[in-house]
Amino acid sequence: MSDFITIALAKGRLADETFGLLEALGIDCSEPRNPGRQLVLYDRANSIRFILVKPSDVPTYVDHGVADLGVVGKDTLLEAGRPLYEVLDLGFGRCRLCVAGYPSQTASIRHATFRVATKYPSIARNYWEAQGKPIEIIELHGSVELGPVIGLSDVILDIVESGSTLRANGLVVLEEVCEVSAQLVCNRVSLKTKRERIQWLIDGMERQLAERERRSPQ
Amino acid sequence: MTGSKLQIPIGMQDTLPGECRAKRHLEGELRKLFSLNGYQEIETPILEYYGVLDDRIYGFRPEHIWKTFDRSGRILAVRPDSTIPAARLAAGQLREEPLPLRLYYLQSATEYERDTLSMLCENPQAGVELMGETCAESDTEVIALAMDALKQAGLKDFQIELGHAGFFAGLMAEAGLDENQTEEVRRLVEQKNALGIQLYLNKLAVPEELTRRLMLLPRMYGDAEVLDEAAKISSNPRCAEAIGQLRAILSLLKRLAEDAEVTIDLGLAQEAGYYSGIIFRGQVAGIGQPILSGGRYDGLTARFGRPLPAVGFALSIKTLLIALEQQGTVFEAPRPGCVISVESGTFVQAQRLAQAKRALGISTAMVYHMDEAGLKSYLRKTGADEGWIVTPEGETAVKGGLEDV
Repeated sequence: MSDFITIALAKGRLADETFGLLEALGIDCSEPRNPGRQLVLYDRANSIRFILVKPSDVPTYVDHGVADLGVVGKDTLLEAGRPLYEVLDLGFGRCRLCVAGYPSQTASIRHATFRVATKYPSIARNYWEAQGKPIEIIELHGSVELGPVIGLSDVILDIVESGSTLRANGLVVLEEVCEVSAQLVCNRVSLKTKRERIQWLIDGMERQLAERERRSPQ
Repeated sequence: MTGSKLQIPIGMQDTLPGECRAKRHLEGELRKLFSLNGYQEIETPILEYYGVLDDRIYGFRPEHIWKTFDRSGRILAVRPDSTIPAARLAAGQLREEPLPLRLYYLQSATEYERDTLSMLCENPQAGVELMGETCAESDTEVIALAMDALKQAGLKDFQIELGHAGFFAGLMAEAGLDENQTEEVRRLVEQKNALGIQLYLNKLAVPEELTRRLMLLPRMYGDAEVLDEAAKISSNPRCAEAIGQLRAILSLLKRLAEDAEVTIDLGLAQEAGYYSGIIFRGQVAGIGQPILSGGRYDGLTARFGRPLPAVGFALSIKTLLIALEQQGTVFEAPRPGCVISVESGTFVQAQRLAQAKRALGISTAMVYHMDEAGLKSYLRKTGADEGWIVTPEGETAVKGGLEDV
């Protein structure tokens, strides 16, 4: 299998957008587009193998080198904190990583200890540590907005796309941590040991993105 | 407590007979190779004063170092690296030795979370340090020795990658960035994050023309042509010197070993903070992390009061064994050649038989009061080649061999 290029993807929008880019390079993504229950899928003619995994596992597979490339949101990448090459910003899956809470609590961020509900405990720790503010992290796996609503936490740290979930629950963005978009990541050794083919893929995807930009400038 | 008594601390590892044998064999080969190249073995203590390591230049994060206290309350660190102790020795007890000094070690380095790939904190390493030489030839000698070590171990298709700390330092000097800003750019270069570099440098108001050149760094890897590209992006004297040294070393390596796969990565500059010149690492397809890494660290021994130019590398024994296994090497657990069952009153007689076997180089072990069926079963389970039952009447052979699976 070492002559295959293995790409780790999480099912859903990031994967679909990635297939679009790869197909424009002549790669056959019909198998991974309709995976059924298969987890390992191929374009054998181009010696490319796809593995479909949970988003938060993409950095793990790539770090271990069992996948050469992966597509993953910047938020997941920051949380994982693994030493990967971030070779290309794919631009899609755009959103913001924000601190949100009740408008009246804006000032409470400046108070001593307060509680943060989040799916990103590691980002939260680094973010407030850098500001020298002690916090208590409450790790949740979904519906983080509930935190302030039912009084579990003072604020949340989460990704915000349209902000409609926040608004529906009476919450507002208090601080923006960073912008998030899909990143193409590469294993540190693969980039060298499979250099030509991986560089061809990176360059090709970069060209496709530039082409799209040209056709529909925002 | 019954269950937890079997547990060992997180990050520690027992080495069982199969792995231990493979490890000792590999260590033996490396020991032979390093001695043949004129290097002398040292061992340094498992504990050092924490204060010795508490310096930003070493690149250890305080929270990654295992610590304890001595009786008077001084903080001690479990050795996280062997190059710093070697530098301490060169500046201290080995001060009177003639230069160049060639040292090697086979010992572990212990650090929390150095490596995200495994939970292991204690990493057995083999490494060499060449101190007192400053030329490209001495850099090449050490890189060639690293390649020989991998070859001697039986590793195939590995790749050596060269970089240079001076190239990055030269570019940063040109950009006029301070220590913290340099560290941020270094992190982004290490991630090969060209966009990140652009965004960060724009924020710092670095001239656009220079930013454009710095953004090329993440792509500065590949064959020797990369050095031609690199020469175009900076006329800074440190950058030019770095490129000159890399060219010299590359050409020497190619002449030493034509088939050697040596590539360049100028974005590699700076894994450990103490590197001052050339940096290199060895890697193989299918293993997600480098097997060895090293470089020139001319400023390190001066921190102990004796400035000496120096170059060295450390190789991870565990990663190398995993790579060898992945390439098809089979590591078998050791098995006895011969097992002798001792009946009452036959111990001396059995020992004589055992000594005769051992004299032939056959590993021979005793078992006590085992009947023929028991011995046969034992031979099958352990895979021993032959067995003997010793009774006062005489010695009877029992056929051995591995259990059919």
